[in-house]
Amino acid sequence: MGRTIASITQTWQQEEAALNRFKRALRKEDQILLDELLVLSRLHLAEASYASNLYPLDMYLIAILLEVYKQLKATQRALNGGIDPKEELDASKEERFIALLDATFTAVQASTQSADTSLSITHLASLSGADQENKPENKAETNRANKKQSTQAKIARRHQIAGLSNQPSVCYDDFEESP
Amino acid sequence: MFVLIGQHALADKMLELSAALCLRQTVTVLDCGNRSNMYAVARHVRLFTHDPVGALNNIRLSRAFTGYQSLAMFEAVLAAPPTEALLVLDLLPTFLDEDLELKDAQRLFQRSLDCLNALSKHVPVVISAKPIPPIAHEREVLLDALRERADFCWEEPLPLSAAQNLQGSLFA
Amino acid sequence: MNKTEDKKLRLFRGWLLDIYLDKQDGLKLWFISEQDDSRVCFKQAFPVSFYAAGENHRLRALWKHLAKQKGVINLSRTQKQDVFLDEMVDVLKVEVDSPAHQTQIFRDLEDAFNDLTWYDTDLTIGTRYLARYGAFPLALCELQVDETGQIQDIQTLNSRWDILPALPPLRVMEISPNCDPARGKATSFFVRSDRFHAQIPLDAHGGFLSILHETIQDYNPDILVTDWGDSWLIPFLISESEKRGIRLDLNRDTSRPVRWQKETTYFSYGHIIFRPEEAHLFGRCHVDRKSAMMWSDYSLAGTLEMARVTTLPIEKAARVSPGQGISAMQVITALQRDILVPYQKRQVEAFKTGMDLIQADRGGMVYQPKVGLHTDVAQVDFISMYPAIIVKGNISPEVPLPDVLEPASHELGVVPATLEPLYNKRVAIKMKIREYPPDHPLVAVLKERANALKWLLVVCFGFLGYKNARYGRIEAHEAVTKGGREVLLRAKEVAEEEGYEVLHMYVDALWIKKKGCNRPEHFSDVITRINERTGLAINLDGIYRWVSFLPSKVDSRIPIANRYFGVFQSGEIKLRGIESRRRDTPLWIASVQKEMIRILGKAKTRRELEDCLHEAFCLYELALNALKNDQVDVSGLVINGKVSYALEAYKAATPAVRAARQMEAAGMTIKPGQRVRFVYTKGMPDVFPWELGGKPDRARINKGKYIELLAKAGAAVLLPFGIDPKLMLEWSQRGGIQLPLASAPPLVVN
Repeated sequence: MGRTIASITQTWQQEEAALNRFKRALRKEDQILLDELLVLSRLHLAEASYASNLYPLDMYLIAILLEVYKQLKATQRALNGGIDPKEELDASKEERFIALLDATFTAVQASTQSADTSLSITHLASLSGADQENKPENKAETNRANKKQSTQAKIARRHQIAGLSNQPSVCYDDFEESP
Repeated sequence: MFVLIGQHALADKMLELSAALCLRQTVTVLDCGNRSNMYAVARHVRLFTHDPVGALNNIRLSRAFTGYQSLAMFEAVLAAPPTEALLVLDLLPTFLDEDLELKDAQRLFQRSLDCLNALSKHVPVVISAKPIPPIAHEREVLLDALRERADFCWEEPLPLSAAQNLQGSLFA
Repeated sequence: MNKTEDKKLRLFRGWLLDIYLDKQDGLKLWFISEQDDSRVCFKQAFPVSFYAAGENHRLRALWKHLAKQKGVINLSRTQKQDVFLDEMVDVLKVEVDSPAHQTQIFRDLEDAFNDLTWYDTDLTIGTRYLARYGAFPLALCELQVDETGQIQDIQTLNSRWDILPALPPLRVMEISPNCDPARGKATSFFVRSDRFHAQIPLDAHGGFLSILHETIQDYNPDILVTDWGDSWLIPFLISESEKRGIRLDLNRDTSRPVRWQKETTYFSYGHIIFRPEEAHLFGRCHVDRKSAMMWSDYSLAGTLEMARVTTLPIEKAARVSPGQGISAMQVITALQRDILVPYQKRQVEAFKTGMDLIQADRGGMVYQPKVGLHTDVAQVDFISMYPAIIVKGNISPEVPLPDVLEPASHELGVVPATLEPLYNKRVAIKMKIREYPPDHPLVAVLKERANALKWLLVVCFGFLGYKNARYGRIEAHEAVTKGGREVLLRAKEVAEEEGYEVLHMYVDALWIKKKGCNRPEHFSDVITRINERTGLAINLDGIYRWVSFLPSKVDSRIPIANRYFGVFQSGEIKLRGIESRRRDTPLWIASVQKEMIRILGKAKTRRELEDCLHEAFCLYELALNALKNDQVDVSGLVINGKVSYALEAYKAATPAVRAARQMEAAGMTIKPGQRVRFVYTKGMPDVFPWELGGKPDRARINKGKYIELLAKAGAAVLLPFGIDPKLMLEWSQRGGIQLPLASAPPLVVN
């Protein structure tokens, strides 16, 4: 009985055609870039169709944004020696927090194991203020406590604290590069 | 019964009319030519409302794909007539189907026109149609019958042929 | 049926081969005896009924009109079920003494009583017979037959759904001319069977007619398989037989001439199809391999399977599209349930809002793949997804439709009731195939049968949305696609939850990969979970060693959904959308492309792929040189074009149209939808029509055009390896490539 509404490819072509006047008025170099942008939206035609939005152009624009964002992320990684800057930032935040918890845990452990409460209090106190942190004897204690931790325990703790998500994190390394 | 005849059954204009009507009221659209591209309607209503979904929900649409289905559709609507405007998009294609013999097409078409005529006593009925293609020239009688039954009939002027389009000579 | 006590009855067991109308006897049926292998014809009275509904005064008028009509044996008022109506329908039942009379009577009534609603008026004899007696083509039956050869009772002993049915020992005889009669003058026939093969010269005295007649009489074939039988062979034989007065009985029923079904052109699934005139026999089946629509997909075993499950006569099953088979099956379901079969479809689409239409009027999900070369990729496919959704969701025009996948009603509708045994049988046959080693003779037959059933399942969805389908309904069609989209998305979600990367999705298939997963057992969990999440069966089609998703030929930045090729771990190559899959690609060019892919398919690792790449390119170079040096047979360069419309309708003439116009000028008739073969030539005319016979002068062949086609085909294979198609074309045409100045090595000036 045949389809009635325009197919997603047809609506895409209509939206592309609607940009003709704008495109014509652009400089040549901008026309080429506009073409490249529009092509990006074609990578998500199926998703745009499924969305069944009243205005398919809205979906094409979102698709373009998505692809441009992907390229931006890839560029950031490339510039940052292959590491995603956001992941790096997140990782450093994680490290800082884990270090804080580590130190807290170590101090609590030390206070429960030995009767030397003053040490634990001092240690705890050392965590509460920058001055305390910078006291050489406290810093040395912290370092010794940290060194006692095995690497494995650190990792386990990291996972614990990170709260393992079910979603695998996106890793651009995993995508096949087109030759 | 208002009849509009033109290329592509004036689909663009009919959809624009649907858009204008659905902004304020329900409108019944009966599609016999697979013309109801709702994206076109959405583009029109967008200019006039912040609630395009609400506007499109004012459109009551049914499609027919054979001459028998078209007649059944008109009979069903006549049995429960709408209270507001009725648009019929591209009335003829199902009756031009080569699977349908001419005599059956004529019979079904006449009965369809009777239904539409009866409906026009209740609500305004606007019908669009396209000119009969040369390959189906023997079905021209159907378009003639439609013209005869119309209370008002408007036909899109034919475009000039390439030869006629030339500017006349300035000099004798 | 009751035994008639006053006639001596004998018992007969055999397989039903052919059934057709007889004005005098009702029906004639041909059987293959189980006891002595004889071929026997019986007759059977077969009164049939049809129904009319409408206003009372009109039904009374109809009654009066029919009361004294010849052939009408009874008129009565009754109530029957129309599935599209809530209440039972008051109908006038018209019982006629034979199907032949019924057809004639209805033809006369249709015009005079065109305001009535008609039911059961245009049913085929096969569907009526199955509905009444359960018998179908090649069914094993037990009959009680009287002395006059009249069947008094018939029982069917096996079922359409048997996986390994007891089949008759069919006698199949092949007849083919020694050349394509459109291209040359046939000088002999090849005649083959399980008992003999011979070449019969077409002598000037017509002796071949007598030989053929005697061969047919002696061997007494059940099925005549021919080449060009419809378009040339049978018309030629009949004409020669009449001209020379030499007897040639092609029919078993010698009281009848060969029946001709006239040619037709029709529109189907976006294509214009031309079906030439057909020669049908009585008591025997004629299958023309050249005009059998699905022959290349499932040849004789599949054709017989199609005939058994659909009840279409074997001759018809060979020729028509599977859509007619599905239609027949739906009618059988309706008759078996004592439901009226409407003559004309009158169902109206329920009102939708504009928003509803935007959401509902969509097809299957077709993604854009990740373009490039990928290794260790699993392809997982839902098994007959749309039919499974129709059955699972109970999607039928007359029952409430499901919201997504869960049925809204438990009363199984006509469409799923028709599909369910078909789907189950196909799955059962596929399981059966696995029980045998791959080279077992039964495997090929089972595969053909499964293929025939697959095609029935494939078209059933489209048929649901077909405007003339009696049990078609647009809302049901939309419900199926909605279910399909939901199922595919759920599958995607499961795959991603399990850590797979989804490279591509296409309606009912996904291509997925995960590091470290390259054995079937690695994918069993995700398949099980998809099965659980969707409720539909999905299976691992295979694991590609590598697969390449290709971009658009027009714009290489744009992915194309169904253009890819790859090699499974089994070594099997899969191609879609590339030149060698296209009908209009010359056979030689297709073979070069396939060979290049086969070479690449030998690679088991990425490193080996690189080596194979060089080998594939060497093959390409050899092929290119052979083309340039006129070493390619011209028959391998023929383009298989098509003329979709009447020639005068074309404003811009395609090469196929230009060839067709030459053929028309030479006195040949060209019909819309007809295939037109040609070769590209230099100068004007720029095409040489292959059907005109002979071969064009070698010097006239447009080698440049064929180099272009070869380069495109080769480039499609090498593109995933970073080879630019434009450079490849340039190199192919000129033997070198022009480097831009910027990339030229710096001049060294001493």
